[in-house]
Amino acid sequence: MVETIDRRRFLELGAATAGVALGCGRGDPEPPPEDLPLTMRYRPLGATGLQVSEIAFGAHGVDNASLMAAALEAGINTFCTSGGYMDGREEEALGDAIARIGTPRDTIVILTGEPPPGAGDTVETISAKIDTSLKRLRTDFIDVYCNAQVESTGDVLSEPLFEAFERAKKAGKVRHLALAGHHGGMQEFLEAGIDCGRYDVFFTKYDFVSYPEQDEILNRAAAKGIGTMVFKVGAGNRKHEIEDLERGGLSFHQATLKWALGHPEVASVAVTLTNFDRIRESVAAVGRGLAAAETAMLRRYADEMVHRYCRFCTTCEAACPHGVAVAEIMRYEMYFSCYGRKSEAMRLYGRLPGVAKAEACADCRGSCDAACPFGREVRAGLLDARARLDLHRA
Amino acid sequence: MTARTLILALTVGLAGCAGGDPITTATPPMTRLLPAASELAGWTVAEGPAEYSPDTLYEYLNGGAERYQSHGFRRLLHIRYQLGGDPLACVTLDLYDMGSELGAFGIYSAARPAGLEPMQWGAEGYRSGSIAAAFRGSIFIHGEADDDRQELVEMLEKLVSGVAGGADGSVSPPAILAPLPQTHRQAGSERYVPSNLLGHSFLPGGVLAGYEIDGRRAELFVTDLGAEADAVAAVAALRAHFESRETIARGAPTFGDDGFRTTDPIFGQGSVVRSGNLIAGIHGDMLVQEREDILSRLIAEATEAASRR
Repeated sequence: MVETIDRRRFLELGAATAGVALGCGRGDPEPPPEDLPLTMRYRPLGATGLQVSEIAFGAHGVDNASLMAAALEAGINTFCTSGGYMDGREEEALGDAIARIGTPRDTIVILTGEPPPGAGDTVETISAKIDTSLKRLRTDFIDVYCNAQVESTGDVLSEPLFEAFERAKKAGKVRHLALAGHHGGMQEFLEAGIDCGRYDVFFTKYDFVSYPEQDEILNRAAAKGIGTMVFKVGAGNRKHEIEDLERGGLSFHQATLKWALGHPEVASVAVTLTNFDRIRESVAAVGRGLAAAETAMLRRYADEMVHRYCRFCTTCEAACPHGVAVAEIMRYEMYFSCYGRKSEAMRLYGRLPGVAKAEACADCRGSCDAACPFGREVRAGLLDARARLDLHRA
Repeated sequence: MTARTLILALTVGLAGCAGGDPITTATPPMTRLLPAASELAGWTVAEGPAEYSPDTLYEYLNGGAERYQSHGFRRLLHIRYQLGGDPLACVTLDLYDMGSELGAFGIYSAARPAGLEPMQWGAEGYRSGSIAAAFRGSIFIHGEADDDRQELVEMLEKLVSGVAGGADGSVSPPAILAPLPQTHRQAGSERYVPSNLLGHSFLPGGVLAGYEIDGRRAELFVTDLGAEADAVAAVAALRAHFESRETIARGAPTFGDDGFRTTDPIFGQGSVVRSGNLIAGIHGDMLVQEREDILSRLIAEATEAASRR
């Protein structure tokens, strides 16, 4: 039984609903038979003219040409790497493997890129990086060049990058520009990417837990001709939870792939393929909808994970009687705890107006908790953030 | 976050706030490895020190984090030193605690460019342009200068060699490399892969190394399954893999057990044997006698090492 699901409502289902769903779906798994022929499918990548395989080879960390050959045999035509991985060794390994296999260059799609230009970067230094990537990959052109790992709107709107890209494009070295990243503020960056009209492709984190608004963003991107590829569809891939959920014989990995490919504007999911079994498992997810049991599995996992993320949606701020800047504080907390930007986070918190800080939270009844559409314990999170961010208190 | 972790994070964070202040030695071992301010005349701390955990490494390395995770990454200490008042004259230093010597060597060997003369930093190090790296014990050290100005490169080398000198652990190559035959081995070609050797989920991690004879090259691999029964099953699975691809060749090595030869369109001509818990093989464009001579020396050395234990 393949279940039709409301993607946006997926996260809003409570534990009780998940339990019912699990009961309905139990006994209806779709394990891929070993002898089932694997069939790859291809989707257009926005208006680029490229046809990408629904499963893309996340090439980093894999310098095994035989594995790549098996992926090609399975129909995977899209390979993703970055010049920023392992000082460029990943690009070299991909270039070496492609050369050893002897695949005609025009039958595969290569994505690579670099982190956003830094303060010292110029059009010339960015152009040099593109040339270096071409040399490492042993190719004359890059299908999709990524402005990777964006962390701010400034990163998205980098004029030196745009100019370097246009120069390289005129020279035939690159064909399409992608915006890539997976940071907490990615939705804002994707919106900026849509608005600026400079990007042909999004390559972004996309999972069934984190950002329900992202579906609409991808739809708006598609309306502008921007194609989307995604990665990190496992929502953290928490081993303990997954092992428990897979006991019924389901594959969490396959379920997450099916979920991502369920969005019509997701052209391809990049997967790190470290062994032959993983290739088969991933490709076997292509062309199959989520079974009810798989949907229930993802719901149960989402229930476990959903309380751990603030989406910065600000819904709770309207309910706060003290005017606490919840989203800002949680963003700074993310800088502190996740990005290692501790001193900056503490400085930013210190600059907030007194009323906007979490001072009042200790004695508050926490109307924010009830207001959070994701059921987070907002007040506790604010108090935790205050303990980290308040320099005087620290 | 536990109270202890929180205290640690705050201590590191406050040290970062002080910009240019000495990094105290009262905090965790990784910060202990950093130079004192008195050793950094003219330099200040422009960023950090900041710590990343397995959960947050993605925020620093993006998708590149996966490779570190697979090698047993425990934590990262990141710091950026600045020369004078120029924010574009910095050296970034990253200290990765990989949890084990093999993990540190594995990630070091994956990043090491081919053909570089190794430096005597820790167990081994190298510099390639504005990038330098080394490992010792469980610590992998990676540094990068903003450009190749002499003063930046000098600082880069000083930082990487200094940290490698202060880290705990042996200054010799990992013991796992000892059985690899020396003759014809390509310098700096040794790698440790933590799992899925050759892309097979039934093989654990193992070691690879390149060999060359008169321009003919081959890659040697060896893995220890831990138990003979497991090795027997794994070598059978490996043979089945080649059989399914119709790449089994005639003949077999005259040493070891369960041996077979392969002819793979990508790997070239190969030979595989099992010896006790070990599975080893070699593939490339070497002549069969050349590659099996290297393989037999590996098996002999590994067997002797096992008997010594």
